Amino acid sequence: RRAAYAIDGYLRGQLPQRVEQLREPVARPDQAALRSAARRGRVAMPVLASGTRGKGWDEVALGLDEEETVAEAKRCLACAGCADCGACVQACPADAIDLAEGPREEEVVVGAVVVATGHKEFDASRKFALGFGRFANVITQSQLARLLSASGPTGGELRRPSDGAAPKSVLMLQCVGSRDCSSSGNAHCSAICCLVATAQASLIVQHDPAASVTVAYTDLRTPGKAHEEYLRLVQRRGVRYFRGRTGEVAEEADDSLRVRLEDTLTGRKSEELYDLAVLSAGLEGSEGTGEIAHVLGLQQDAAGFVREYHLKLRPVDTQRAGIYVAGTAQGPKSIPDSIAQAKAAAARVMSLLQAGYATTPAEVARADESRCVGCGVCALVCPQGAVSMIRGSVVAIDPGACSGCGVCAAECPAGAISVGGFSDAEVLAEAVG
Amino acid sequence: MNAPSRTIVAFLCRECAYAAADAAGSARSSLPTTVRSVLVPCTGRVSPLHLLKTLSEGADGVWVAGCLEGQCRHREGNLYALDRVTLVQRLLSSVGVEPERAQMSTMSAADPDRFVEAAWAMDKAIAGLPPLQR
Repeated sequence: RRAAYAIDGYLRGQLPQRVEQLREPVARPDQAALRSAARRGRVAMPVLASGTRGKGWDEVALGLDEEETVAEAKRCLACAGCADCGACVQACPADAIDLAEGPREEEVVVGAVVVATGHKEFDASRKFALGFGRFANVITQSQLARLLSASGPTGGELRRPSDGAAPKSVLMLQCVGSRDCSSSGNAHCSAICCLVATAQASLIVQHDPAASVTVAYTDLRTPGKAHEEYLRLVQRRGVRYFRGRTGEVAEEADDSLRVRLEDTLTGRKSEELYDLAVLSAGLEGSEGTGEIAHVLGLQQDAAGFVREYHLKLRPVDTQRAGIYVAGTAQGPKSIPDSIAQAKAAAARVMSLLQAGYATTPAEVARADESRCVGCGVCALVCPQGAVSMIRGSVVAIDPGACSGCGVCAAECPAGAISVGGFSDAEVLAEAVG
Repeated sequence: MNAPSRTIVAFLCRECAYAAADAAGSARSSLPTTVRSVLVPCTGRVSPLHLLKTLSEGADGVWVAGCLEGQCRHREGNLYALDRVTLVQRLLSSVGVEPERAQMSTMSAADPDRFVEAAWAMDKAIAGLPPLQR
């Protein structure tokens, strides 16, 4: 509602205001006016005749025309809802209501940060030939998950979007935006799509034995505990796995899909008709992860995932001390892997904070205060922000924040900074012998 | 067999080029015998003084090998190194020395072939130059 007030104000030529700064007007309803207001009933919603409702997918409620809509809106007495009477404050037994409270920014001091901002689904419309966004019956695995959900729009009945018919033939296309060296995709394997497609295909054939599901895959990747066994089970349930790439998806007059496929085992090309096509869109780093990585000074890989300190030995540490990463913000992974990594990150935080002290590697920069001329170049160039100037004249290096790169030591005109193990004398001794 | 007499001192970043060199060695790749490696924590540690002193003390070429742009573990040490190598090249030209005696390459730790290729390219560049007059 505050957004509506802001838009209204703007259209009336007032200066634009930030929505969060807008104070909602509090109603002081004129009791006399309320009592004298004419009572008008709700405008009746026109509905489809009862005999015709079972014959199609048209909405029963037909909607109001403009005149009826305006008449319905005019019933509002514009008292602005809350009358600021304060009765709720008195009624709440937990004393949880504070009428003066508004949004606020808080600054907190913490000892460690875990980045667990998750991923983003690849935008399948970037693969134009596959028809997502152009054809109603091309959907993604996450949209299919909603359609198969008991709390979804169809109550768990699989209905294709174009006409609500139950699809009898479903094609799942793997590696959409994954394992793809073209400019519109990612080179990495998104790790979870083979199992996701297998699980959803299983749901479809178990729910409707007359439905056939084909999974067109690049390679079937189901590593890990019990996953290969699950794949075999679903194959026995009748899901067809087809090693193939899809060239193009086209829409027929009856909304079904004509799909050009290439069998990558035999090289044979074919055209097949399907009622529904489901794209297994890959995982990539989200914009929000990019923003937080920028704020925290973390690196990202080409697909936008946060880089870890060491892929094998320090998989939840980042390049910055005290900042950890877990889940799909770090890379594509399944829910069990995300949980394991989250617990590992929590354990890393605990071992950092419970020790009561921090250890730093020997290879950090140290300053010789007696040689420092106070120019401040080191503080300017330090990529970690670990160098500061005390009273603008003497350098101080935080050994906990220093990553030991030595940029400061190489810039220092006075030779006052040295990196443990890599002093000028040590580097030159190795270089010139 | 006569070993070439020239010497190239390579300043290798521990995070990428040194690991790539290590992998190239494990793969038994053929590397020029002229290249001597010096481990540095980051190419940002290498100062112009290190490069000039190494050349004046007997090396025929200096080579700085660091991480790909945007992949420095310390965020931007490799960019400082590139600036400094460029500075050294200009200093060398101003005193009449071939600027290609100081060069910089970037690579990832996972790409030993790139290291091998860059090492041979560096060796070839120095082999084509007349002896350095000191």
